[in-house]
Amino acid sequence: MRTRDVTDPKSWRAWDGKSFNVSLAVNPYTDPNLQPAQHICHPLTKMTYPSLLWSTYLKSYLIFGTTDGHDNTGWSFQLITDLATPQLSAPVAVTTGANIKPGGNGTKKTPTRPVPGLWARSINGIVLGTQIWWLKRAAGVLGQVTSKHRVHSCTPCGVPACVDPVTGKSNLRNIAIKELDAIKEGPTFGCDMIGGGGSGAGSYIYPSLIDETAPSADLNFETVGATASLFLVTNDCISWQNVSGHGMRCNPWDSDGIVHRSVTKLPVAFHLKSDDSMAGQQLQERRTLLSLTLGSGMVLQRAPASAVLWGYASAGETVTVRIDGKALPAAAPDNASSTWRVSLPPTAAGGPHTIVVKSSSGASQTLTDVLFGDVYLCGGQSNMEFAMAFIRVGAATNATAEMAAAAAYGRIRLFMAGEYAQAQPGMAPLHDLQTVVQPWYSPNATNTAASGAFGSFSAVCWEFGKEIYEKLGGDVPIGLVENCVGGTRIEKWLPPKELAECETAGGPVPLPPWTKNKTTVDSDLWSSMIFPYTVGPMAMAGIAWYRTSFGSYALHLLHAYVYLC
Amino acid sequence: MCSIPKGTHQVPPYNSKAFTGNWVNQHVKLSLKVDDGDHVTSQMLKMPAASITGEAVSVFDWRTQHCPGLRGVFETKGRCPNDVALGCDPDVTDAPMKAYRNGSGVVVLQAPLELGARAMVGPSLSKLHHDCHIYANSTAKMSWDPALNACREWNQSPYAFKNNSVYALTHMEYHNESNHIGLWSSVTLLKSLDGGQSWKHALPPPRHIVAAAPYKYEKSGLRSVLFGFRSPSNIIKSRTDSFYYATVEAGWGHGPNAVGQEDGTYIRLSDVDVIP
Repeated sequence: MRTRDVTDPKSWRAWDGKSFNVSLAVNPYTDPNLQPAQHICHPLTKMTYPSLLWSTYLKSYLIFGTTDGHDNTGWSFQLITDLATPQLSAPVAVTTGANIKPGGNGTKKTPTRPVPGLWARSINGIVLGTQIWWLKRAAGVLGQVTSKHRVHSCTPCGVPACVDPVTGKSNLRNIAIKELDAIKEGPTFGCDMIGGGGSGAGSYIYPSLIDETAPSADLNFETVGATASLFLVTNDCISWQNVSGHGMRCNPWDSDGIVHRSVTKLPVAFHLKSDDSMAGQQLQERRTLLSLTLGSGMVLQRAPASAVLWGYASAGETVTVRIDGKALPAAAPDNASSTWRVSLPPTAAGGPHTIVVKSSSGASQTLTDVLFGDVYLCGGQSNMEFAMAFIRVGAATNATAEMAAAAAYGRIRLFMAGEYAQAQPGMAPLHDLQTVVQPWYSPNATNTAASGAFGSFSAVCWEFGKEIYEKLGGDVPIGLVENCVGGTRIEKWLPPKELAECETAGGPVPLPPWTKNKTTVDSDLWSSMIFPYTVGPMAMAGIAWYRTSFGSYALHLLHAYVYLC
Repeated sequence: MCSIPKGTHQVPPYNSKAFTGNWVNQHVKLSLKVDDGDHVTSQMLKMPAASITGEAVSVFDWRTQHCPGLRGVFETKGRCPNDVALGCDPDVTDAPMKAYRNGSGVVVLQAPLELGARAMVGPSLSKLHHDCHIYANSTAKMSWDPALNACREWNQSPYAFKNNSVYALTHMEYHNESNHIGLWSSVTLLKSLDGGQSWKHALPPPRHIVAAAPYKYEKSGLRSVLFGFRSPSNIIKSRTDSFYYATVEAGWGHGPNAVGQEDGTYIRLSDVDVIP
């Protein structure tokens, strides 16, 4: 359908295979002469729950969703050459790895065991071939079946079929207390709680591919880059059932009978998979004349350190740097990484300074309002991510007041790196950040107001930097680099060589339990979000790292596993 | 030797309207990087793929973050039984999450639900908190008249504009009042004029219908379950024309009443010119 007014629901037109001419805004109750055959449109795909996106990496529209309409068949995407004449490629399945199981295929090994002491919440038996039923407690008669609720289908797992393990029969029946006791002590029913249509416990359902960092023309997240986040709804409860007309609920042997659903996100990377000769080739890196970690308004490390400027140029080029008009020795890129570097003379705290960078190719970039002071990198997980907009300490502190007060600290400069995990483990580290959420800026009345950029900056990092600034008498500018990703283990932030060399007391560090059904990649964030700062390197006064229980599962285990380095 | 200007060139079939082949089963010539006037230095044959590259990160943990119960709010006869365990206190997501930034700059990650729908809000997609404010509750004003197409509605496809208005396609399900049987679905249009804080039908029902089955609801039989249009995708603005596009799914049961309509996802579009 096509419309001239999106606010008019009737104006949409659907695709009939040749053009957008089909009106679907029909109502058989109000139009007795309705001709159904005139309101038929052309199918495009069997995919369900799709996200419709433009990919800046694939340079194509794509539709991303559940393959073939079944939750447990995984996720896939199809390219669309032109939305106006939609033609879709064949589905390309998303590689999930062994530990990511979409839908309801056995994602949680929860036996259908009766709950001791809660027989009313226990299972009667497995009947009718592939369906589980449960019983309610009737007054005065323990174990009598009063309700026969179909839970969901299950699949055999260790038993020949989904049958009552006590009797081997598949008939619904009452169970006596004696038999319940026998079940309690005996084997479980042998079936995982696997839901039909992806409804099983722990299953990932309802995919949405979203990327906030990719450029978009307006307010809607309709563009993805080389990476994006796959938001998934997760069934938390052991199992659930759909009660017609009432939505869904957890089965009563679950903790509280209330449906549980959570939301998780998984990183997705697109590749241009080539023929065999190209297999494993690194994606083309994003490199610019000046490293993306640098920019106007930034803070460079003060004396006695010598701050470094760096960037990338082609072989044969020379790069010149002038600070406040004074030329520094020209630099040439090294052959191996195309990186040029210029060390600035140690400079006392203060500013502003103007730095002009020019390449012999004609490219140039001017950095204005550059200060010299102390630079700190703020790393860690979600506690470091926790944003200014949400702080509240007791009744006296609220986000609005704290953010407004920040506008007075114009010599504290802020930078926020974007989340980007190296697409494939084991690849060479990236020489520059791939995404920058907020280039260098200073708090002011505009960006500290509601919904301003400052509201998303790390509250811990800000308070840390502000305290240092005040302890130094307000004379030393402070640069704060927020560089953190929620829910990440420390092993992801460590370089592979050092991680491999560091033996642990207690043997290999076991993976945290929350990673049981998830992929675990070490060093990927070091590769994409730490290494870029080491290229120059960026001179810093220090690193603030907010470690919680995610910091290292080794430490979480009461120091049973401690790195020996 | 060929004569190609210096630079990197996109090569069809990417962005080619003329391409009619199978994307996946061909190696697609993507780009030619030319360093000088006549020397091709890189020619790669590639096809797209995607993979999960990291761990699952919790965005919303129901056990620790769900909002206080709604018990007592929706326990009106016919809407929801007086039993929390029957889904009257869910604070859950029952459709794909959809995100937008409203006209005030707030990122909204919607958790669609037909009753008591909440969102996660924050300054960016990675810094969200669960907002207990109910932005949509179709069951509060649901109608048992199938002609209105205003029974249970999932606000599923928001699209935001800079004037703080947001329009959204819904997934509407009609359930029979007496026995709650049936899943006769249609797609309708909602609007919000306050950045997604509150919603109402874009036009009074049934004038808010975007796509509906050309058959009446049936209490049983082929047209009683999964019949009609449903589950709209997000809305996307075309980069090459002035239209918005979205997909919806269609289900037509089986048998003679299917009238040739196949199940599948359909694409549709609207003109951007008059968007407020």
